[in-house]
Amino acid sequence: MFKKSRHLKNVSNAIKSARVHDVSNGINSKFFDTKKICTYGINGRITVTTFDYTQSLLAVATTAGEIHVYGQKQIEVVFTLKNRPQIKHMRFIKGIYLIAVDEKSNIIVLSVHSKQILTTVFCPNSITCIETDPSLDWMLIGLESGSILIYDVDRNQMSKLKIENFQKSVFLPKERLSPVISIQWNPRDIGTILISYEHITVIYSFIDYKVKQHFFYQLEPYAPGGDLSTNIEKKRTPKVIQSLYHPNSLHILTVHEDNSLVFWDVNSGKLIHARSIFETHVNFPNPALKDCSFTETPAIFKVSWLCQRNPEYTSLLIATKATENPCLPQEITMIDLGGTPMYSVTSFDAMSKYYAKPVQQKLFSLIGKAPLINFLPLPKASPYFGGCHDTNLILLLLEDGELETLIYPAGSFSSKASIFPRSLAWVRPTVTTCIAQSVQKNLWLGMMTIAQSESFLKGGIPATRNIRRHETRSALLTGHSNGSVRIWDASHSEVTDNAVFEVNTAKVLNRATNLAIKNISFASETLELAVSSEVGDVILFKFETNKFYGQLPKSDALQLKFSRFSLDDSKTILVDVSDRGPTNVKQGFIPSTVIHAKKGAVSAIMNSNIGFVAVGFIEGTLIILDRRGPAIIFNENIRVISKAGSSYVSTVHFCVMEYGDDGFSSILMLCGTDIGELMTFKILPATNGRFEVKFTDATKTNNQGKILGINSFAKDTGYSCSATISKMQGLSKGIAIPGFVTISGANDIRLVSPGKSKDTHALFKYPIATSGLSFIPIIDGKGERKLSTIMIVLLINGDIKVLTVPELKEVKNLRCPVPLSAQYVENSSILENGDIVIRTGKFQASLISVLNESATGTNHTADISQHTPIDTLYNPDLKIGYRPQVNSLQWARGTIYCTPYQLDELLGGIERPESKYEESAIARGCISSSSSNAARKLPPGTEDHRYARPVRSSGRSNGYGVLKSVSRAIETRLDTVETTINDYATTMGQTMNDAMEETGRDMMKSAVGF
Amino acid sequence: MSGLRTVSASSGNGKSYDSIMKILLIGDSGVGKSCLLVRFVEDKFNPSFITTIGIDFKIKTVDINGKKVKLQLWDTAGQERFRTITTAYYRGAMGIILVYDVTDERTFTNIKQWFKTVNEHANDEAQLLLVGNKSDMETRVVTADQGEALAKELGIPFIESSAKNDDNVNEIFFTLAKLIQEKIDSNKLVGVGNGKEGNISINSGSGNSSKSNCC
Repeated sequence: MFKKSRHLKNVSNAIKSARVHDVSNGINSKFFDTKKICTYGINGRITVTTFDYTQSLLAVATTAGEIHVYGQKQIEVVFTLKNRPQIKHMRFIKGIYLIAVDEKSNIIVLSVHSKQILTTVFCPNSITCIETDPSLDWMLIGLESGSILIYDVDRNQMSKLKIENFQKSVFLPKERLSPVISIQWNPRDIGTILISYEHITVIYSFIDYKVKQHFFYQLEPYAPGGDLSTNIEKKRTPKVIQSLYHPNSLHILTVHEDNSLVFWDVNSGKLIHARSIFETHVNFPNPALKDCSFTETPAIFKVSWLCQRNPEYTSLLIATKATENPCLPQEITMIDLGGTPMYSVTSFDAMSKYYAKPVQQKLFSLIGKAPLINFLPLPKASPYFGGCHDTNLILLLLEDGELETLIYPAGSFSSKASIFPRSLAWVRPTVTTCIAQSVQKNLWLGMMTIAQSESFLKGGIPATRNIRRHETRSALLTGHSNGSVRIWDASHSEVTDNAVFEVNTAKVLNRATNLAIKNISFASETLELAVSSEVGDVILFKFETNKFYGQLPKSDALQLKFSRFSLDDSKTILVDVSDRGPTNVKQGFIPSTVIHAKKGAVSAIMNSNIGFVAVGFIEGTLIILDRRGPAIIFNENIRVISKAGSSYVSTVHFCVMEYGDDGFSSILMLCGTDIGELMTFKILPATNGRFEVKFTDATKTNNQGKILGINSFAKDTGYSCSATISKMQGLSKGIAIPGFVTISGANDIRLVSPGKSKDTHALFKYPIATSGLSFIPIIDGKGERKLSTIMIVLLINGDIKVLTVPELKEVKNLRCPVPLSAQYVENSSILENGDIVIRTGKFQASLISVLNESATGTNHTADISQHTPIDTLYNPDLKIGYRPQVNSLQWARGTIYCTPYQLDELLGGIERPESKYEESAIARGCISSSSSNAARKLPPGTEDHRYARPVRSSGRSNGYGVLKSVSRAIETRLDTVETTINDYATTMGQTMNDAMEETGRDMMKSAVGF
Repeated sequence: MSGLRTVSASSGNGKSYDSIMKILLIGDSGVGKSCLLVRFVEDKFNPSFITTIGIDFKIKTVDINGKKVKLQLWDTAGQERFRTITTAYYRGAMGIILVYDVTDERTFTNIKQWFKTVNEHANDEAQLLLVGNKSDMETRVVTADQGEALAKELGIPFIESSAKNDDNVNEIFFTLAKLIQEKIDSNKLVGVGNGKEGNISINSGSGNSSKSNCC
């Protein structure tokens, strides 16, 4: 039979048995048509990120020339730009404009309100840096030539004012022409800006049109500077790479290419202190240090001056470049400076000491991650202070497009999925595998109502979408590089929340490396989950009420034991991890057992709906576990059992049907192997009350390559024979259910009757990406509702074949509406309702339907022609807070306060024209003009997008909900207890860490009040 | 406006030091690494258990045989899950302090594992020191003799300490700094004459641990 079938091409054998009838119920080609339902994830790689505090929107630009703007829940609007520009800089202005600067120095102005591109401005000189302010119309553009242009975003014109290259014209005319390195608006005075050129940094005043102060950093011979590898015996002027203001605007920091961090006094221009990450007083000559071993340090590329709600309490966050040298691991450094001493009463020496002796210094290691290319603090208090005002979350952008979320200042990484929309979860961190699965509707919706859905982003209003009615819901499970697995509802915006279940195997295994998820299996009826890590540990979870919910560890000793857990300490294959679940999840997927077989990578994993879990290892071992117990009921190497020389099991299917001519049904475990062999096992009750696994048969069913999938259905009804508890219970009645099994190989699909015969065979020209059975309700000609069982096959060339069963006759050949990627297409899944989830790239998947729902007659409301509605992003009711001003002392010293209106006049002239954009008028009302309403954002006007800000100790709130109130409560407490300010970082760090890392210890403390 | 004012520093204001030593604390979670460090640098003690995440970094300048030595102290996370991460920081260390808890047998037996990891990842010249912490506790299960025996087996010096009572905490760091200094000096003696002016005294004394003073 096998040999014969090789000569067949794309045709099927007729089935000779008279008993068989067409369970596809005569479905025909007009029932099928492809339609893209939605897309998850991101096309290309993220290169730039930006955040708008007031509208609470996050924007990311990708290498595919797309800009995605995200808000609350699943809100996502994608701007696709022409010619795939590579965006270098991106900023929100007044919450309504989104400015993007591409590598060709085009400035693209997008409207957040109308979701249109308003204009594109070409800048004749290469742009090196930009500066904007969330409350101002003006964009400062630093150029390669060293001059600064000022662009009026609101009026789409350049200001007549152009700031010359002061390094060339005034300070160092003999130096090579310097580009503008960095521009920063004074955080407390819009009338002045800080400009850095390669060697000199100046403060420029728009009011006086002149330089008010300058800062020049020069190292004497034998002054070590930030990096000892430079020519220490000579006089040096290390180039500036960035300059930034202290949030109180009284000091500045210049960052130099030799890693010098130089603090200056703004009023006098005096150098207060020069240090590097580790060393202090680096500007003082020290001949003794010539042979110091600390010669090589990774170069700093970005520093942020973060402040807490009280902006006098600051810290520096310093990112260094990744190097090739393994001894110089990549990291981010926090220098917690603590509360700034009172400017007026502190001597320069005391200030110098203050910068030399920080409260705390900490390294956040990025070992094992791709090189860091940028970071973005997400502020909680205001849009000002360079977006650094009170941040607990910092988005780290890695070179491979992955985003990491650093919990600040604790230093742990959070992968908590619900805080951002689902699409971002594809890069936070990278998806290593994904599967989609059909789930019973009621069970699923019930389960999803208790899923976590707390979002960090609050902006936008979701558009109303058509709901597709199906008997099943689709679950999408993604496994990630950090060992987390998320379970989402796959149908876009039908479950509007970003409800997600999440498990963290890193916590269960107490490991930080080798965690990437390789295989996932989800038993959708018993809500059990089995996942495997890249090194072959299998972790079993079950959806249940958490018996450890809210429990504090009884003692430090227990907590210590918890933190010292290691799988390798266990002498048995099965390790009980039921106490390693999160204590702050009331109900969810709770870990139960780890299969620590030490057999290397896993080749296949199947958690059946009847409590058995099968795990195949590349090395050949097959382990069957009965979750009741749990107990291993089978542990053998299939290389010994195989007749055809198979090396490992590539897929497993559990079904309940008749084997051969038994006359009764049994539980069958069907294993497909790497060379196309089907191995059949029976699972039988044993005398001791356990189950035993009995090998029954092995046949080579498919031509070549590994078996990708096995399905089964009853011969008479077409219903699935997949093993379920109810079918298992039916076994005692002794009824024989004859069935067919479909086996997908590399290029062919085989239909067999287990223990009897090989039946139909279908061959394809291109390799199969995925295949599966769908059960489609149709209304036939007589108006009768029938179930049509069909086989859907996705080939890697993008063909979608719809086949009848059991004949495997092609009813329809469709083209996939989305482009496929050969590397990832294997992560695609056919769902029971005729949908296909196709992984189209590293960070992206699409949900498509092959059903023409109006033709099947089951959904009359379905309208294929309808366009996907677009979410609303901009909320005109949100006001931008009042920009902070200089304190009275500075004012007394002669700082002239400049209002935004005056700045408009200074930069735009008296006859500044009216704006052509409707956005201008909408945004005009959004700037708070006095400090009276600066303290908080006004609540939005409509009920739809009103959200309650968490308050301190808001009684009992469950799970993650109290996260925000936690930090807030601590802040409130500490604002009043200034003496304990030194403990602040520690307490805060610990609390944030507990909250996010699911320990929940201190979080509970805060929930019941300190 | 046109004149360029330079602000480079004048020398000799006492900010300089003679050498820098990078010292790392390692050992199981909860043995008291952070407590030892905080006691040494800030002379404080906090009895509650706070897990270190990432690497805490502190500096203290001490006087070793009349030389100002700046100690760069790296406090690593002891948790099993951070172990592979922290090993990356072993290489640059001149001194490594292996800490166990005298009230917890397992932290003591794990020292061998830590020692092995150190040998795999650290510089060969790195000076090691074994510390049995929490010596004040009545629930002690590892005796000082056992600690001594293990130290002998591993060929490294040993100190028992209590961060809580401030027993022998300074001794840990001074002993280690002195041993490192001796190593540097002896390397200098046999070294291939990388003729620098002797900023480090060749005749620096050895042993006597508790004499030196912090500055």
